[in-house]
Amino acid sequence: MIPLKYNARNLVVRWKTTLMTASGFTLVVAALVVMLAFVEGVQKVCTTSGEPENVIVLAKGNNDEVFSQIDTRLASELENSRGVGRNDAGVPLASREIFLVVHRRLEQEGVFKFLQIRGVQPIAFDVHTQIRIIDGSPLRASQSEVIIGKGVQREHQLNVGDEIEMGRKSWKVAGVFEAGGSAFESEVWADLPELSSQFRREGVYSTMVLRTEGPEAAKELMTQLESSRSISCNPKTEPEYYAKQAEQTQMITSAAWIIAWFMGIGAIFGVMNTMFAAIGQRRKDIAVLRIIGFKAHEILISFLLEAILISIIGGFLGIGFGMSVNGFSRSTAIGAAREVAFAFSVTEGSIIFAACFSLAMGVVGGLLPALSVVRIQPLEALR
Amino acid sequence: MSDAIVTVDNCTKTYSRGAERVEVLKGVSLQILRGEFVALIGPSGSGKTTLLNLIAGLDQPTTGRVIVAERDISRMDESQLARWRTTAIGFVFQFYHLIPVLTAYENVELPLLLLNMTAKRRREQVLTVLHLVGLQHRLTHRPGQLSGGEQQRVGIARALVTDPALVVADEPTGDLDGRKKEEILDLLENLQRGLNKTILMVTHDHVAAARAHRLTRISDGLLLEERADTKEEALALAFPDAKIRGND
Repeated sequence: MIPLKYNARNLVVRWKTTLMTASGFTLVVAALVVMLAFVEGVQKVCTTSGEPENVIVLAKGNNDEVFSQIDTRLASELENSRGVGRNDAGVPLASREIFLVVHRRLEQEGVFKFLQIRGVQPIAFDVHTQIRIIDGSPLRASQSEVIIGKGVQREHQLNVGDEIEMGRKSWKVAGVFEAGGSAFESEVWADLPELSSQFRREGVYSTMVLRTEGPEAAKELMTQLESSRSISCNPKTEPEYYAKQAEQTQMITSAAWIIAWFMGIGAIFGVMNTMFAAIGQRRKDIAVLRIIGFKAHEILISFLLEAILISIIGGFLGIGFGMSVNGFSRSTAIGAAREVAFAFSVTEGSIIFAACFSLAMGVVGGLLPALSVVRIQPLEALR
Repeated sequence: MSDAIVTVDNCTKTYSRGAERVEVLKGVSLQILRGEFVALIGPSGSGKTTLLNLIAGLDQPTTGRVIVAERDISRMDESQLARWRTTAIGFVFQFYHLIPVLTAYENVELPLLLLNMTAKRRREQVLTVLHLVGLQHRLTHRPGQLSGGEQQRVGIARALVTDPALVVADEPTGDLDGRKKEEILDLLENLQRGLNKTILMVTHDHVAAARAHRLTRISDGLLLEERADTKEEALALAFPDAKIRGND
């Protein structure tokens, strides 16, 4: 076999061409890693949102709480359904909630961003057990106060003590909470009656969240509600509901894939061009190798390996650049006018996939030029 | 067993150029004995490189047989020929044709990579031939860092490293002048004498041709052979305008 150092040194000698070609791979692989990190990040938020013990109930025909409307009568029926847990005081673990999305202008950046507001009653903190105050104080009813998720704190540059304009009045930020990295961290929570009156939503809720004893009980409750003749609603376990929301990132993913494929094709042509040029410049080397006894397929493999080496260099750099976004926090729109904060997440699987993608581009791009080696006539090449 | 290392038996070689057929060799027969130093001379287009290529297993005759080291190579396919060339033939080219990115040592080692040989044994063999051509101090130099004469010495070392039955040299001094040409010719002569190597050299140069034991002239695809005892006359016939200096 032709020693690999022959290829490696040729790449070093033509370092400018090597770098230019490899940078094509770097771009594609970096874009791919970032895209996968985005999808992974959003999915992570959606899959960690919601607790398996909870059943989220929306109005019949609605799949998003933004549009859902549940009246007081239905809310009472749901609250008293079999399987709904109770707290120590015997109060049903059923959280009546309204969910609103408003625009808020960020003064410093001069742009509008979605602000998701959830109106809750005190029982909500027994239902959503992931909520933990990390700064300031808990939410107090009828005090024109709100608590904000840490995603909102970051995206809207808000802190404890700041004022937010919502509806017709100003609300004070009393505390900041975290919720295990879930979508709740992108929300502002306010007192339900206070919020309802501000937005004229009295007597109507967006959702009811019912807490059961465990995941199995939650599924049973869901089946029971679905098959009930007296209650007409759309129940889902919380994890199912948020997983469904994540599916809406599918379009972004598809678009990103199309871009990645086209960029990949560009990189393949780049390496083809480089390898054809390399073979053209090294026809005499090839002729000598053939004359001293190397077989055509051995030389073909050598040049194919050279293309693969370029793809390894480019892929390695691309993965490096792509990994630099790991943990970087942004927000994105999912569902109907909902914005969630997420952190780009580069996983082992994404890295392996990107490395394989880069290698595949190297093989496809290197194969055609390498095959042309077989057609070189040694004697003609030496003239 | 015959002492001939090369037997060319009534070989023809015809090339097609579109509808035209060009007969480059018109029934050539030749024998080269073991340990001989033969110069193949003739004007451009006479067929000498074609004949060299047939003997070196780089091309196949249209008709006739070529037997080298007791093997009929005119019946071998390309794959068999490739491996056969590694061990049976050492090539020396006019323009050296060393791999520019490899060192002198690595260039010489290249043919040995095709043989089933330990790294230690390879190293011993490479160092031996590089010592033989006087380049033991230039192991790590790349071709671009060597003079023309030194590059040709590396080329000769590469040709010898597999201990081939026959060394074919195509205008080995064609790119060299004066003292360097003489040095390379001295080296080839010493190798032939010291190692009893069989050398077939194609040349245009009367100085190089004068070093061979025997001159074989080819003209218009036909061979005209002169014996060593009439070498001066043969040289005078082949190079009528040159001032001939025999060295026997």
